[in-house]
Amino acid sequence: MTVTKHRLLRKAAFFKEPKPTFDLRLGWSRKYDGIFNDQFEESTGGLEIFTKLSRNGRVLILGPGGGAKTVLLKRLAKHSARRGYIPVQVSLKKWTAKDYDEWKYLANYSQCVDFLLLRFANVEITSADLDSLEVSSTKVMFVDGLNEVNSLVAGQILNSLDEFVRFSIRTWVVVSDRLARRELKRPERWKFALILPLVEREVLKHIPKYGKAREFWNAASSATRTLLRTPYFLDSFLRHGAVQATKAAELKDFFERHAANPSDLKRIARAAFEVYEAGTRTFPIDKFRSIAGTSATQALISARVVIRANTTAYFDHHLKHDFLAAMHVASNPKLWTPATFNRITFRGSSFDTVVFAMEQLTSNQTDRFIRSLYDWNIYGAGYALSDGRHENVSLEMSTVIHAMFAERRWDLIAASAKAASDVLHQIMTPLSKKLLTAKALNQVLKIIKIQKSQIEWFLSWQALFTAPLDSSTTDSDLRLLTEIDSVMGWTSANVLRRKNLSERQQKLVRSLMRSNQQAVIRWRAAHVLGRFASVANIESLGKALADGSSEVQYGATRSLIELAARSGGELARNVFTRLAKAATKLANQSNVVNEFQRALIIDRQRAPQGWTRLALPAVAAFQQATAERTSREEWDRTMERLVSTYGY
Amino acid sequence: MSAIKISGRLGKARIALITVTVEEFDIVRSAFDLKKNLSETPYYFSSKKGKSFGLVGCRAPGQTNVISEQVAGAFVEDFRPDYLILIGTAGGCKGRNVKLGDVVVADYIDFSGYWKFKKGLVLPRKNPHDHPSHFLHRSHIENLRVEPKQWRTHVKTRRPKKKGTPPVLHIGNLVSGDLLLGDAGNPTQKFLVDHFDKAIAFEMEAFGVARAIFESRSFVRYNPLFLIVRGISDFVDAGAAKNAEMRKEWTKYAVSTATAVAYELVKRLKRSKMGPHSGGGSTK
Repeated sequence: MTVTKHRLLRKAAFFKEPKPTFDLRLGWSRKYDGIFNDQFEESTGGLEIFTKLSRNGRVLILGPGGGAKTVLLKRLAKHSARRGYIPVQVSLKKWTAKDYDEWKYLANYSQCVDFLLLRFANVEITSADLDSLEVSSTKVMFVDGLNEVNSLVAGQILNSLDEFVRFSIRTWVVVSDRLARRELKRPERWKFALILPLVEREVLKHIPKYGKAREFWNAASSATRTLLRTPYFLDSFLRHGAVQATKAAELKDFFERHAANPSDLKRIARAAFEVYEAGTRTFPIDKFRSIAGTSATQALISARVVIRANTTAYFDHHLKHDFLAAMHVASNPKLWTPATFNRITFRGSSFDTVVFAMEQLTSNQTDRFIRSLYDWNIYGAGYALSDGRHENVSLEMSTVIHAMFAERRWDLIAASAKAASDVLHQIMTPLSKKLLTAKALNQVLKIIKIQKSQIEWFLSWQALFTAPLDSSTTDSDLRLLTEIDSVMGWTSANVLRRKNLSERQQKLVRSLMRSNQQAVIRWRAAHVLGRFASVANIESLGKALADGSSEVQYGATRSLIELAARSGGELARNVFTRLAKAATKLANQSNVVNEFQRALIIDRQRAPQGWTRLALPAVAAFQQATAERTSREEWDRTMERLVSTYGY
Repeated sequence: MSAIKISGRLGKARIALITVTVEEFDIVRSAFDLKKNLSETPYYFSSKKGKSFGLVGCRAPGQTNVISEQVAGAFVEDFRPDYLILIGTAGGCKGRNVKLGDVVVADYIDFSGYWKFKKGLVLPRKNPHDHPSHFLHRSHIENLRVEPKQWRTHVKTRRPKKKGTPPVLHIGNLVSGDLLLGDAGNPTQKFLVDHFDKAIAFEMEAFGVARAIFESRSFVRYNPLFLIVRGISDFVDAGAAKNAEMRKEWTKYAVSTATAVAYELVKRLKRSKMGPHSGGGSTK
């Protein structure tokens, strides 16, 4: 037996299962859809993954924060060792800002995998070392914590691992992630599993020492039951004998008991927020200490809540860090800005902080918070409403968010439509269920129209949102596009796309996009123009690609693709020729490139004839203009998706 | 040293066959008796012992190198074949001594989809990839070229035109791109045909297969060999209308002649103990 193999086996075998041990179960699906819609092909015990691995080689285990992803991966590593497989454990928890910088320069999947192994594996090893182990040995890479890095890198990591196992002999990979839909190069080669909430019997098995389990369970609210079915919080309950109403309250209770008095806690929360500036879970301990104070920091270290490694440190569980940062944000409405939300969610990669903030707000603050989130990222607002938190928000605000997602189900761009359905499934309210059954946009409007309210702003919004499809537009309708209130402004932009606009009115919209001082108004105008195919709109949107605001560029890119898809033929060729000509200037603007690649995959039923060939000149031009190897491969993937979805 | 058998996720296949169009796949399946489907997969086979397959075939779900690269890569991952053969049709170059129904077995593959436009110049750019197996060319293909009777007897489709000479096997350069070359008058097509002045066949999948094989060489003891076998169904230096007509008339026969060459090759490979993993000695 080689030294490396011996070390890998020994490391896995040494894992001491935290007590008590929970029986974890997995719900399986061949697609992300099954995971998001709770439609599993089968459910199995947590250790029953090896048949899937031997056939697919790739398993993605998804679960909410506190769902025991890390414990399950360690358990699986130990189990693999017992079966004679060689487990390699990689934890992304210690990913730092410097890692982002270096990751950018890696040229191919092999370098990416070596980077992950050398930086984050439990044994110093490279892919070549793994290959040099005897052919008969099966190697399993367990990569924990994909949600610890931003979405872009997370996708790149998955695709690097995919390539790696594709060509490595007898090599499998298991990755844990939060509930997020990633862009996979070969989704059909992956198997997806969701860590299911603990079953009632499992929870009851552990709680009898706190009195009569069944009576306790029956008396518990649905929020408490949800909490207790999450391993992290059941464990916390078992340690302290009390359970709070929400995850945030549970963690607040933890910090009050363990580490801090109220004034310390405020400082710690601020420190936790400030150190997220780098976009990583690890942080310089000195910076944290300078804000939180020496004694509070020391208390956290002594309680092993903060783990120190030389000059850097990290929280023992990311939920604790998220909670503290969210606590600071919740108590400072001035921080409810896109910059803050980008910081605490790793640019929209992990929404736990948003959820924690939402749980800490009083009911008169939540609507404002949701509006702020909506201004930043509609998905943030959606996740803030999930898992029962919609109860804290006014019925009116909740209806607005539901309606926005319901409308997106008919988005021409496939990824947007899919993401909207995912969020509605996660919100799981009676209204979201109803909206998910709607077969056409018209039915959505009908459902929203019958929502009752006496609140003035809501009635105005409701009248606007439910305006009949393809009706004519008045100039006052157009003026709403410049509304300061983001809900009304964006609803107006969406509604205008469902209505008829005269050439004069389209000209007004073009002029808004060209010359309005506010970027958000120019963005909304670009959004509207994506509905109306004409040479003038294509020219205008083409010029907007050079707008100083990245949001406007993003909107213009998306609208140009939409115009091409809606019109097909000559106009589509015009769009793609324009994009091809601009390729040299745009190829390095990640927001434009990412949206271009994403938006090209449109609803198959509505794709014009020869969509792949229409898009090909622009795709080729962007690829030619891209110097970086990994980015060039992204264009290969785009081409691949186009051909496999629409033919050639 | 004993031979090392390296299996894929679904088993071990000695020989893998890839085709692209439905017409090609039907002819190949029939010729090689690939009647059984491996459940929940696109793979067909004739017989197996446990997880060991002699011959497995599958069809790429569409044209272009992007798709063929995926299919060949998946084949490697699923079966780790010793040999991989891409069978189908190609456009030939009339002015370069190739006739309709002839078979081209590529000895070199050029990719025609990567260029840089710079100050009025069109500069070629390269992506690394493998080339067809020298071993297979030397041990089998050259012999089939010299003695065409050995494979002509396997041609099961009647020649569309009675007059004309029997099909010939050519060994030569092949150009693989992502454009369907159906109009000799098109300036891009003309540029490609002129630029690759030695190429005798043009198609859209060989580079993808060559690239996948290149990428699969991550392990010192896995050495897959591949060949591209193409029947000529049309000419890239014929006009658009003529090209479509030609293709319609000659495709079935061209697939059949290419399949006949592949069939004879597979027969020999099955018999042969020589191969990439024969082991049994050293070169000391």
